[in-house]
Amino acid sequence: MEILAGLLNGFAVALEPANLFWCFVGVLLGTVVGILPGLGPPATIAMLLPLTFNMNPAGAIIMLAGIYYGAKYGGSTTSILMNVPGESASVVTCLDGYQMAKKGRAGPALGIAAFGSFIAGTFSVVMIMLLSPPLAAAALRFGPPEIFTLLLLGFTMITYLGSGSRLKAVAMALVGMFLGTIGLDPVTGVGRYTFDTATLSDGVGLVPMIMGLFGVSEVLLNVEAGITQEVFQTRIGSLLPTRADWKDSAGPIARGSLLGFVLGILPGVGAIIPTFVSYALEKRLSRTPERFGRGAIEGVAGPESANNAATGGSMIPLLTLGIAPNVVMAVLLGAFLVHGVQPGPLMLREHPDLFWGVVASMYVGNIMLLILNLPLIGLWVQILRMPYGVLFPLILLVCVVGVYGVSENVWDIVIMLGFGVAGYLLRKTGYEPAPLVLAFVLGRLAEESIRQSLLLSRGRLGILMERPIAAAFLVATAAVILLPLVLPRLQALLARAAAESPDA
Amino acid sequence: MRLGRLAGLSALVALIAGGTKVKAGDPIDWTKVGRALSTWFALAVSVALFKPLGFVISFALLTYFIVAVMYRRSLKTAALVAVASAAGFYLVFDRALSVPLPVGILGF
Repeated sequence: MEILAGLLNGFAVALEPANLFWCFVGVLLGTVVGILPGLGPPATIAMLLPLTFNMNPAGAIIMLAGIYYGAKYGGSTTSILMNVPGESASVVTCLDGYQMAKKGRAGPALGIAAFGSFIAGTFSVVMIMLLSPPLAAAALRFGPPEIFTLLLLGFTMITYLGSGSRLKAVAMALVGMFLGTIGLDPVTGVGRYTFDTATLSDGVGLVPMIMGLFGVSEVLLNVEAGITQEVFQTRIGSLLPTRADWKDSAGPIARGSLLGFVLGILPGVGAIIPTFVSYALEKRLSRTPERFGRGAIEGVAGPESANNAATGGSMIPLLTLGIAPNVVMAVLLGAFLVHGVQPGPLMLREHPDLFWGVVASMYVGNIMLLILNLPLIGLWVQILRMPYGVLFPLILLVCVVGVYGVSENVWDIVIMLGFGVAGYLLRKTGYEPAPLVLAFVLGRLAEESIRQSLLLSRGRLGILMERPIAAAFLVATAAVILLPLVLPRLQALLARAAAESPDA
Repeated sequence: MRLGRLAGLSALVALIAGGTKVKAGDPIDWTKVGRALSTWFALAVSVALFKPLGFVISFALLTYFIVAVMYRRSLKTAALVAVASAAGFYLVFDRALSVPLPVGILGF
């Protein structure tokens, strides 16, 4: 009942003309950003942050969240039509989506991606609505030891975040942690690595870091390639999937939604891994796995649902615990703080309008996205033909204005330039920036919570093991570290046992 | 202080360890790297020019450089794009949204 009342209240906020407008702007921008390869949601949200300073908090968060889930809709369009992921979470969609387009079935591929996204997106909003209040209530009892052990779990998950080398992900996470220690010591107030400058005594800014690593370096990577724009020349035809398509896709969409949502909640997982898991799962469950990679609609429906559900799932740790499970949520956390709202267990009680308004806006936004992405698909294809030479200076321009707008400090632009060239060089050598940013954000929180824990226990680390919830998080952390080491051996052992037994 | 040093040191070790795993197979295309780095350098120069020239002019110059030199469009197109996007930016961000832009000696 409480949820229903909250939701009604939320719709009252979300349907205010101004908020409705910002929601539309958000999902529209999200779609564009998702479609354009080379500009992702983290940089876009960070760039637009200064524009929201004069807006009310609800409108600002509604718009920025819209960019995030809107990008997941747009990303599939580029994957299907160009065989290039418009957004990192749409990599898997290229496999079967592009093959479908080549066979003249671009329409149903785009259609099922949009419908699957809509179903999964709506499912995840329903789940946010049902799970957040009890989780926030439980989280109210979390003290520093629980927060620290949860963050520890998050750190171990970060290493799975990248698609490349685990070691490189660890290296990036450690660099991020190190950068997080710059600034004033949270307990004693002593300056660390500040070189006695005012700019660094507040620590390295999140916004310049993200704009450099995701905005500037992305432009540099694109300029170097001088992308050849090849949009698939085909009549898209009817966007509506056939009855047979629906029959094939129903299972993948349902499984993808559930899987994406559950994985999305976990800190450090992000939206990419669920798509890979979903694709592998559908291939394994399929009676005709050989169709995968040659235009199987299940290979589009499952992953596209999974990434949208993961997007919703990742809102939960932010809204209920105040912990950012991925880079975009880290930026969104920054946006909340700029507007004077601390996300976390207290938010539901102290700012119910904001919480429920954002949740309700996600229902509205998903409907807008379905409408934007189906009938207007032709328009988006035109955007893919936009000359990049014009686009890149504009992106750089917005990055600079964005960074300067937050602090009005020219040195932050210099920091952004540094991260820009560093991000470019790191990516060229196979290091991904996402673990760095996440560890940077979580590292500060973790330092604060471990030091508070130790103050509570007068320096005894045992406090982390004595409290049941904290101990459970520690066990989970150990499992995350040990499982990948143990599992392959276990499988090999089982396989050998099966091979040796005569009746297998 | 110790915590920061610990994180910094272990990051360094892991970075080097990760670096040794770079596959020797892919040769580096220096023209491409040159394109990227000169774009970066142009951006850095235009940021340095904020103080004397202001945001609008230094960014018009950057846009001109990227469109004309990097993307080999005609000088007329480049000039047009540069002036239009700098002016558009000034109107949208400074005038309409009152987002602060770095100001030069000319006052814009």
